[in-house]
Amino acid sequence: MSDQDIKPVEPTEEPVAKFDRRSLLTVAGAAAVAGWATVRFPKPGVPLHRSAAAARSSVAIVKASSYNVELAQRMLEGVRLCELEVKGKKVLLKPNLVEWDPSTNINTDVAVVSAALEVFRQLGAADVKIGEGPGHRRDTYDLAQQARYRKEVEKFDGLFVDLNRDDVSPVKNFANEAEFYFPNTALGADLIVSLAKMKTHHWAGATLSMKNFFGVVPGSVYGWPKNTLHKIGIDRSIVELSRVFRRTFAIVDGIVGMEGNGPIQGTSKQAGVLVMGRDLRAVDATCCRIMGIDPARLEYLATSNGLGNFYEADIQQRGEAIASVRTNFKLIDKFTDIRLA
Amino acid sequence: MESVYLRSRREFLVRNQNSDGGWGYFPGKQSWLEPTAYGILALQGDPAAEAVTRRALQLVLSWQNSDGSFRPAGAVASPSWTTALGVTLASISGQAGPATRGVDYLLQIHGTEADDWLSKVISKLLPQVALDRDPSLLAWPWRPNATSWIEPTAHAILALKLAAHSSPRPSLAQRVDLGQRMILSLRCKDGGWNYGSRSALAVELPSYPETTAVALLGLTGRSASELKSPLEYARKLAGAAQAPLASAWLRVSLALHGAPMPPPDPNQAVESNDILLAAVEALGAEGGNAHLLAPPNGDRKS
Repeated sequence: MSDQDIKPVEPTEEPVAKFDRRSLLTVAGAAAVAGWATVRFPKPGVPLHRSAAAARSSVAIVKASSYNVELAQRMLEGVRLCELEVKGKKVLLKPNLVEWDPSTNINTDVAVVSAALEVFRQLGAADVKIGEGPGHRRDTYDLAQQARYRKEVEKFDGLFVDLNRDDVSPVKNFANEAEFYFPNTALGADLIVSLAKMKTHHWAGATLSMKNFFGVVPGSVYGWPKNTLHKIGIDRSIVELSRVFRRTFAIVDGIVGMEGNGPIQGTSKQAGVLVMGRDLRAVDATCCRIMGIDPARLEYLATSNGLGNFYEADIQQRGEAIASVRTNFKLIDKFTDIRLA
Repeated sequence: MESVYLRSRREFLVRNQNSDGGWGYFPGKQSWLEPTAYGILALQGDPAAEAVTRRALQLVLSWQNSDGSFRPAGAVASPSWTTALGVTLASISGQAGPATRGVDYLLQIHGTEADDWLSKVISKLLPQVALDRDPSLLAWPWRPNATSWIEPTAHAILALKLAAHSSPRPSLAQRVDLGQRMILSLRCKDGGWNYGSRSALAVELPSYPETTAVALLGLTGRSASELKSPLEYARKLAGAAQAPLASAWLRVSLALHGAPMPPPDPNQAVESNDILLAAVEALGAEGGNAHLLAPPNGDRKS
């Protein structure tokens, strides 16, 4: 695979996010030295104008009260509502497989992974693989074992690519890096399906389909954790990854998500939904609204101009209405100001 | 006589060497320095694999950059933590020039937390404030301009100790000591190590068995009192069912600490297509080469 150059995203009329009074950097004084690590960066305010560019994006919300319902059928309904073309494509399913803790729900549930495998095969994909590159654990296969992927996804080992240890190729001009390396399996896919988990996140506010792309950054180059992304900035990295990977679809597992101190140490939160769409920014904005989070207050969403729609008016909601499934996810103190009114 | 366990893993490695002389993480994939380094170590001294290891070593040495660092793969030009593995291999194979250049590079590198002025001021003026990281404990990142973490630090310590044996320098001993103290300072409450963070937002984080084993690789030579509790924890892990990679690393690590685990089933043939796993398993097998990772005349400070 040869070097790939990322095309810059065309600017839209959407302005840079403004900052409100509350978002001014809180500089702790000497008395607060012990808590200096909690000093926050400003949160963006609501952008001034809607994008003039795009057509409306379809986002499907499908109810599923548990992982024991006929998930594949419901997922298929959602995918069809989004008019996704799959036939003949090489599809990579990218779950969120992070850590294992039986007391909570960190990872995309194996039932969602199995259902997606069935759906994309049924829709005529030429090939369906599963790939993930966890950010903390070296032993991806052990993690997949603990999360029951190896047990419950038929022939899992033959379908799975450890994206941390895949062959890689450079992509030019990613953030500040002249060259940034990505797994060939991800670069070569016709369609990457972000099988994300609906979770709060103690740095980004929420982790959904766009943040899930951290898992395509190879640990063999960037390490465990992928600290380079934190140095670039979490929000900026999310946006940059979305610029690189444009042939995508999102299925967010919100059947049981995570609230509070996510993405690892939070508590389980049932939202009872799968949220799907071709426009990942629109999907994430919709998930935020379901979680009771103002998407305009999440920096990565407010600053990912040109990468999809964001405003409710620009999103064609299919399936369930947001209001019928909204359930506020608990937020840690530092994020109470992102609560949707 | 070599067990089926060791022989099958060595044969698997020989069979799956790439045409450039290296090994990928999986058969037929791009060569990377990490599986290549452990492949060489696993096969070292095997007369049937002499030509194989020679070609592999040539490839690794060709990946040394002009600044002394080693690239992680032929396909990736930038320097990385694998410099430590390059130095280890160069030291073990008597390649003094590449080893010295690699050591010079490692001595220049440290995690960015050491340059954080706020942490430095706090640790100096308010020593009672518990910082997540002590900026004075210089350690190693996965790649330059990033924070230091457990695994690259353990590998760098191992490399410097092996290099110090043939070419002692006070600066090596000092960095080894600082790196080891960094590892000790980031031990999780449960007794082991994860990637290098004890807690997040005041909530304790768990350790991982495979990272605990690698952390211990970097701690050989510390005092018995410092190692007592970590080794007890590692033995406890070793006594329970673990994933293959964790078991393999624990076996190598505990052997280096003189507390070997019972040998694996000698008749267990290679079961996975994971080349790094096969190499580490072979390294830690009875009759394997784990001893190569210890300085030849014991673990003295240089």
